[in-house]
Amino acid sequence: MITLRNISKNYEGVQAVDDISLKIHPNTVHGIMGRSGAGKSTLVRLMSLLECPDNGEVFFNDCRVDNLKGKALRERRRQLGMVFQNFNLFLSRNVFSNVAYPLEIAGVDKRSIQNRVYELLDLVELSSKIEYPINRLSGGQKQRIAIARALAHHPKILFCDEATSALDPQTTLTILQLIKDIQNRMNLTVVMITHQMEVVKEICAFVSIIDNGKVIKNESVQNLFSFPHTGTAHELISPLRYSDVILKKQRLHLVGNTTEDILSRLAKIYHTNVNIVTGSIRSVNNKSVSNFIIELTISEGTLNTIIADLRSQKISIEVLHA
Amino acid sequence: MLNAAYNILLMLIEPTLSTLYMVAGATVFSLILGFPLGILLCVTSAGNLIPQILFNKILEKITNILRSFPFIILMIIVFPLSRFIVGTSIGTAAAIVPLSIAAMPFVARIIKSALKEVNPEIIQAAKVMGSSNRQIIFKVMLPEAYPALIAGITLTIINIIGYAAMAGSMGGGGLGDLAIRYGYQRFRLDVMIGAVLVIIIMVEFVQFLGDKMVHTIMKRRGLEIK
Ligand SMILES: Nc1ncnc2c1ncn2[C@@H]1O[C@H](COP(=O)(O)OP(=O)(O)O)[C@@H](O)[C@H]1O
Ligand SMILES: [Mg+2]
Repeated sequence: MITLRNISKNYEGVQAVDDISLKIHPNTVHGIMGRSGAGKSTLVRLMSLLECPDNGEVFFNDCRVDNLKGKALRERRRQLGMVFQNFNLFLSRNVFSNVAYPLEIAGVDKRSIQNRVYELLDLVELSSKIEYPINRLSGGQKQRIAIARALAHHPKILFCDEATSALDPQTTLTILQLIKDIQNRMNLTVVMITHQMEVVKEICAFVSIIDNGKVIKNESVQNLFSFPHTGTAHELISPLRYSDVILKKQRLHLVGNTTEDILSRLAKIYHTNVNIVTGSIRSVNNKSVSNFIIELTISEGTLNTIIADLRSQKISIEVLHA
Repeated sequence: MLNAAYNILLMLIEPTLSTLYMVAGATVFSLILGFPLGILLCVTSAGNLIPQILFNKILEKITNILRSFPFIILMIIVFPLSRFIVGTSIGTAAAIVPLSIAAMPFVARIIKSALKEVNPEIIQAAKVMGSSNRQIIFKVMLPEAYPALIAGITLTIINIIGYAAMAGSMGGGGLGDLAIRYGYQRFRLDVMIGAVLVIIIMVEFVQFLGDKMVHTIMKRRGLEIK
């Protein structure tokens, strides 16, 4: 789908991308991993035709695209979508007109724009927020809108540059799920740029590890996790906290001044169902003391956050291993 | 007493209208001239939409020189120009010429700095969606910068009101002229106070309107301020 041939990019002496050759297969999710400053964003800007390489060539299928200019370049860009870490939605537009923007600038008629926007908002399950200003959305909702906007022109390729890095683990998971879903349904080629191993493990089929502007490893995710590694690859893989993306049923015992309010707050903040296994509220010396056992389905990261959160409210909490 | 106040009020009407005419005219023309200049100053700067470093430097220099010109001297210099455009170098219509020229670089700088504050990543997002430069300027940068633009234009109009008073005393008519002729030359303090009051009301009104507009936009964007 995408072929890079010996591409390089230099910024005032910094060799951000150094002679990279890479093939990204159609209809897959390809991860690009590396430390901060490794050259991932530069590489994706070259692939998404935002910048021209100093050297080398970029092909979409068999069509050379790195030397396009003017109208041809703009039309080519419309065949790809991109989402970013900080969403980059237009604050001057509401949800509807953010998603409508790419269609609007392509001269699509009003009626078709409207239909397509409804379709897209349906896809990301945010039809109810159609008139909302961007500032009224949560991070996860913003990213969903950004994804809808990126898909407006039925692109064949979707680039995600740290698309989940600004989100909490719980929301990260839902966004990854959405991307996976869309990829399946629309036969998309997805390029996921990330520094988070969890993201790669969760949705990528292939991964390229970049360091100092060079590809130091390029293989299937299965292989990456099956064999021991050295150097940067090892550094990136070993601190893996797989637990951060795996949802597990956790049983917690809470004692303290807990009321049902706190439970519903937990459900709201951490987007999780709270099941009360047993519970009682007793009055001791005119103070109500509650004693609850609850069940939540959450990742380990979220569990730790919740524990810290409740302890800060002087609620004793114990994890029961069910 | 009431009669005197009524007389002053009568005296104020015509100069107030002249001042409004001058301010409105100078606002319109300084915006027409300064807006494109401000956009150019922004988009041709390094790392922006259409970087043209040398061109940008020259343009910056020219606006800076124009901006630092004392208004009184500017007025005298553009007398011939006013005569050429309006047919005379005195009077309210003629004063619009130097006022517009004085306010133009001010407008340009305000537009430029408002546009520069637009998040470059948002511009990049627009680019990757296939926007042309023109679409980025008119459909992204200007709308994104709207609150800052309104605040800047408010400040411009307030400045023009101040300059208009000065221009008035140099043959432009209006409230500045009235204040000088009566207050200074004929010791009519009451008339001068009346003229100054009207100017203050104008400034306050413009400020109020500007604040209101910014507030409305912010609210529409889901941001509450103060
Ligand atoms: N526009 C730019 N101008 C100058 N240097 C840049 C620019 N973009 C990236 N770089 C440099 O290139 C290197 C790679 O950056 P980047 O591609 O953003 O890395 P990553 O996305 O992997 O964190 C860094 O050293 C960075 O400072
Ligand atoms: Mg980056």
